Amino acid sequence: MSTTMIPMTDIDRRILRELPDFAIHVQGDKVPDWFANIRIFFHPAVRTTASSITRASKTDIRSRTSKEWFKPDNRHRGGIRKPRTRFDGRKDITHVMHHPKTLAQFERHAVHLMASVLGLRRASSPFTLVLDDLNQRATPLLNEFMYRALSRNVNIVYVSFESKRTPHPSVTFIPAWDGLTGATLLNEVEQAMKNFTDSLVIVDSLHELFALKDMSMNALFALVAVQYNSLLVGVYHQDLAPDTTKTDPYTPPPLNLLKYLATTIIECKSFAHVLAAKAAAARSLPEPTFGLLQGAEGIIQCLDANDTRGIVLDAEFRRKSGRAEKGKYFLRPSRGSDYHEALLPGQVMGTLKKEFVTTLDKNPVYMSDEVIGLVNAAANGNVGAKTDIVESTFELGLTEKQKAARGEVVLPYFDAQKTMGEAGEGGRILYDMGSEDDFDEEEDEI
Amino acid sequence: MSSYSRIPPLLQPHTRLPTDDSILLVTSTLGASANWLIIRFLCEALGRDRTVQGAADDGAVPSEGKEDVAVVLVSWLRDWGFWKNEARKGGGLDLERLKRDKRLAFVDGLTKMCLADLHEGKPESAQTPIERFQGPHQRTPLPTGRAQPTVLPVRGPPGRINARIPGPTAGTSIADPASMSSIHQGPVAQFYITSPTLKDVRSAIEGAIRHVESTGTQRKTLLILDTPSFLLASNPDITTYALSAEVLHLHKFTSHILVHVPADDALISLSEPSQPIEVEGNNFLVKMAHMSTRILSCRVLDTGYAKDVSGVLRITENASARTLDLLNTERDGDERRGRELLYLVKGDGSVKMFERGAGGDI
Repeated sequence: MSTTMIPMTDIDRRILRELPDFAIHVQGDKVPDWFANIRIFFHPAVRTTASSITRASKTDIRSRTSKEWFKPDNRHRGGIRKPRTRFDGRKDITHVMHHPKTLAQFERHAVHLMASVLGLRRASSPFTLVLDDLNQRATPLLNEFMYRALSRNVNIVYVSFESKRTPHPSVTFIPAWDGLTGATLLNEVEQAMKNFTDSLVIVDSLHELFALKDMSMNALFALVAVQYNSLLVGVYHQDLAPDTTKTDPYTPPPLNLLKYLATTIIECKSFAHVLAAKAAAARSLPEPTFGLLQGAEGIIQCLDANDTRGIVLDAEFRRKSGRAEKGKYFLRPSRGSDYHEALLPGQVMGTLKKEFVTTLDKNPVYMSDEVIGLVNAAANGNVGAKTDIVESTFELGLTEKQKAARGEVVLPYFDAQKTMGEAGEGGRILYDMGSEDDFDEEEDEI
Repeated sequence: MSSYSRIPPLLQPHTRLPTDDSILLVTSTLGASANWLIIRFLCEALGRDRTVQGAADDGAVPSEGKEDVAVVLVSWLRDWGFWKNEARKGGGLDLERLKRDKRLAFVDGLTKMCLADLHEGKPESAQTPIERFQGPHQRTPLPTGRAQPTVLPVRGPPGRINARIPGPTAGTSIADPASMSSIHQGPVAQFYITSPTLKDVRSAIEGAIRHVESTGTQRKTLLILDTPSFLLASNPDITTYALSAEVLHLHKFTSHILVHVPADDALISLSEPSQPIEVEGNNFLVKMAHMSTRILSCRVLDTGYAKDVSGVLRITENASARTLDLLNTERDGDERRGRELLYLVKGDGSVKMFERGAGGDI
């Protein structure tokens, strides 16, 4: 057996450095020709990206005892609550972030923004406003906030206007519907936060804060975000109509005020509805409406509301600089296997292993052929079918053989067309008498 | 045939109460009433005769028969006679007997709040019902003719069967002066909401809950609120948020609450500029939907009237209830997707349910 030998290149030397076993194939400074086939895998450009991928996936799984994530001691022992800025210890405070150069960079940056809000980084967002409606409620997102707070050993205070049960025994639950006034509510929240350095305060319906007596949103914000330097997350149901008749006409509507105060606004959308909207947009059709807006009397909730596959988050982050960044994310429901085992006795869950929120564009379903199929189906006005052919019991298509046979058929009046070109004979009728034809003498006599 | 078997098999998983304490929402429209559905919930809670079920081991749902549920039924638009007849006809339930057994309590939000005393000369309070209805507000006085008992039975809400009451029929329990006077002392207690204020509502319903719990046995309580949105219309001082807080307050003493709210476009769609009552009606419905873990909404067929279909029932679950159950359960996929069933309520009160396209006679 003989192989053709070709001269050795720099890349071949690189191959031999990484794979010493291949040295036996080398003869002098010549290598077998099949080396050319594997050179591409060792090309410097390919190599660097590949190694960076492996490096990233190695460090991506957070260690169980990560100090970045886990707060071993969250007790507050007096003293001033100082806001920690993100730039602690860095000299380069005037560091200006450049626009991301590649798509990968952009996505990493976008996921980082969301992860820092979800992961309750203190400098990220003091007041997160969550907008939801019946088609996609905020509960999966709130649960995610609480899982991460439990995982990070952050104290959770849950101010509820909509539930009688505490979501978890280790959550401080305040049933605010139970005859509380503004002052007593603020007092209870303060009591719950007092002994902890870091707290997460969740309000499951912000509407009532505006309806409550002697209560103002600003007071709660000042207490939680400013005085206690903790995080506030509030839910606003977009499908509840603001009552314009009872309020002072000169005060802004609640939602405007909340949007003004918020440092991050997250809008929750059902994944199924986002897919449907995408399919409609791709065909320049009007965006479909769901649930109460559907216009059918008696429909409250959409059949595919609250998609169990995950939740789409349409987020706007207001940075300290005043710049707003927007992004769309996909958050799947978290699983027990996403977290390490608990570190402390009594703790429910350990450190988060790996961030699993992704940008929506990274979602395989969102970018898949199935959705493109839906787009085509919508074009045919035939939702459900995935091809361009109308479904019926008849076979309307043609096989290749049938197409070829069709091409060979000679149409009858080619003869007339031929003679048309010759002089003076246009409009001649060519007719061959058939055996069954009955020639009528009198037909031409008018 | 037990009352439990009156629930169509397709509906059974949806009338079964969730294991955790929760709020369920039932909505209806004018053309598609949800009373039959409420009766099926009553059947689910009260219809399992445990002794019978132990003997006849059909093996379908043996373990769940153990769950003992007491029911407090609060109705603002229908009276006791209506529910009694409907339950007997559609569900095969003897509500009178269940009431005596303290498994059921009925709170009447209609008779004493809105109707004139049907029997004059009865030692009632000096205040006429119309005055009570107006509450503390004294809005535009209604024509005095309305207070006259001769006019009222005709102008009552639809579906009321009170016209028969003066006669010696089975439905006399309310109107009969003897049973009227036996409130809180006879063997069967009656509970009334006398004015559209949250204070009265709370005290009447709490009394009823205490009554069914006074048997001493540990059991779950299902509170059925039929059209509480009536309160929003009758007293402008009651806001959506106050009423939903009241529902949660009552939830403290009960394990499950079933709220029935009409969802007609006329009641909840907002005009421009929006009227307070529209805003409140819309907000209460949406608020209840946000709070509930399961929504069952009845509506008429989208394609128009059909002889063999009464309406469409849409059932949606809000799976991610407000508990963190990460380490206990892995999620179970698409089972929680919403579902639509067609139903046919027959003249004899029985109900047939079928999937779309399956045809009525399966």
